[in-house]
Amino acid sequence: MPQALSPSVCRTFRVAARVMSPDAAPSTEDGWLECELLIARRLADLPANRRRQMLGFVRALPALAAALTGRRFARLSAVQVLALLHRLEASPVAALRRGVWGLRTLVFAGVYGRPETAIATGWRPHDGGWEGRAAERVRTTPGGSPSPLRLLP
Amino acid sequence: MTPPVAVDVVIIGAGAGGGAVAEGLLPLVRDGLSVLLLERGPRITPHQLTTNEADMVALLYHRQGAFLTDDGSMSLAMGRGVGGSSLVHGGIVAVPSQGAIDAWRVPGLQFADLERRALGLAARMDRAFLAPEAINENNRLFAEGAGRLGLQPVQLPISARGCRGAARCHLGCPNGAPLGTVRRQLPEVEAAGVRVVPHADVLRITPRRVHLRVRASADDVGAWPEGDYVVDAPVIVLAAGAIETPALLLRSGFGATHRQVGRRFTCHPSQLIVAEHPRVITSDVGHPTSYQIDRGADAGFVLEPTFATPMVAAAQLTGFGPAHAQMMRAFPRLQMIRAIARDAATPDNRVTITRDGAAVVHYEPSASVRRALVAAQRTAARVVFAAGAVRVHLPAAHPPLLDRRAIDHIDTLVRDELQLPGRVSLWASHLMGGAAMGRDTSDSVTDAAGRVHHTPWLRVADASLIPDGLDTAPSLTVMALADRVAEAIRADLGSLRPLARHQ
Repeated sequence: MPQALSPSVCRTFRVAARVMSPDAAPSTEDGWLECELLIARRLADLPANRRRQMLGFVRALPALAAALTGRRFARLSAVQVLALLHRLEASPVAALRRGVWGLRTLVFAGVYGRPETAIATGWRPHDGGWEGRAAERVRTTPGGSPSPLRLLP
Repeated sequence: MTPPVAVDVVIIGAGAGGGAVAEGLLPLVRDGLSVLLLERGPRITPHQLTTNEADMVALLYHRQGAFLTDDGSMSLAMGRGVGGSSLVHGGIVAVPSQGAIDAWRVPGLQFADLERRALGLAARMDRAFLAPEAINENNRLFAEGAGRLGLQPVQLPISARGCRGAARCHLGCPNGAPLGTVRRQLPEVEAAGVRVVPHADVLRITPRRVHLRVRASADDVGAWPEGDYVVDAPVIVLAAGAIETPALLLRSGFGATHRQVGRRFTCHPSQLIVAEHPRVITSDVGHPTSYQIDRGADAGFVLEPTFATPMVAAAQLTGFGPAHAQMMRAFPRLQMIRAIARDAATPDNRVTITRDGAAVVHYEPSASVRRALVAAQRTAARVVFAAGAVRVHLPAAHPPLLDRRAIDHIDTLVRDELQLPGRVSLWASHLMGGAAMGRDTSDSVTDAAGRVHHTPWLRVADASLIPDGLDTAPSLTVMALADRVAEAIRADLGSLRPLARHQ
């Protein structure tokens, strides 16, 4: 069981997720908990130094916001948070760019790693491939027929 | 510590290289040779493969696919488990060119020999081309767009038997389609008596001895009880891949005598390019990669259609926010292309270890790799617009989202200076080098048959043998090289006795 994220880290992840992935960020508390569990699981698989770097950036984000915008991170609008993250992403300081890259990677793992979100994108996985898709069409489309597709021997 | 286990040959790593060596030793196994195949990861069974991306990435990839280079700017994908990276292999069966092999200048390695072995292995993998009607729209659009531009896409052969078009090779084929390491070689060698031990983490090697730790191993078939072990064998074969094999050599002290250990690491750095079409296209069904545009010789890049599932696509797309969300919203209408740079070995790109022996990969894309990826993006943009896309998302464009009107200005909109490390998503899955073949210790770690220089009991048989750039995906080349290693072991066994069964 991965170690749970601290409340302050979770708050920062939620703010970041809402602007980095505005359509897919969870809309329920259960969704957020699932998202944070996926992020914690991903972090737990990293070497300790890499985990420290990534969490260090997340923890430093409010201070960076204060230094660069003069306002508290929690008080920034979505547009302002997005502008801040884009500014850091294009920073000449490599550590800041990498920090944003790590943050986005974790956010996307949490947001799109939820099966509900993955399916909501329109992905239609089927073990049966072409045959499975054709059978689905038969079930859902009046008059549909199985695909004639085949593989060369 | 349990008493030493004695075998004739121990192979470390049950991926494409380890599987091919074991297969190459089968005639002797049937004659009583004892072979042990150690694998750090678990044994993956078909019923574990689901459509839950997060679970599959955690199950099938080392560090959930987030093994990062030292500066954190590129992620390296390595399969974990019995089968290694072949667990997530797309089934493309590509033979390298004579030019690529000749350019390595490895004494004793002839292209004709490697090609013969590769074609033999390919035949056993039922290498074939998909029928035209089994090629999905993502691939057809790629071929049509490329054709309109006169770019001459070529169809790629795959290990086709059993492929039903589930389109998630990278999450483990639910139909076990590629007839390679997992589905054919390992079952055959296990049936013949080769013992495969999952969850076996090799700590270091000493002369003719392997020191390993078996971690919590649940009830995987073949797993040993948790604990520390030593295995004695007159022949030790390293096949743990281009990162772990050099790391294991370094942990075992070979860096002092073999200065090339860890060097000559290459990986085909890749980027995902997606384009939005006005209608839904089939990409999540059908084999993901049927064609290729190969501009390796003149521009250093290759373009291939690909399919990334949502979590992977979101991570591999560059950027975040509205432009990123717009593309993810268009997921069923996305055409996806993988841009691959053909990189060459450089002095600084290498594998080292930390003080506690963990592998570290140092990789900085060279100027030619960066140029190649920019050129690849410009070409991919032209291909997708020629195929009817309405907009494209390019990592090195600012803004990244460009509509059709941008096509006339594509060369100025896509620029190298925007490819800042950490800003763009860069990943690699063709990991090569680190224990390269060559003449002697001044330029390499092994000879052309994988014998570690001045160390007759130690062999290498995986992608770490590859000494420089390769012009295909490496899996078939790795298997062919490993087949050579097995042949050399068969030839050398007489001088490497006493074997375990005679002790």
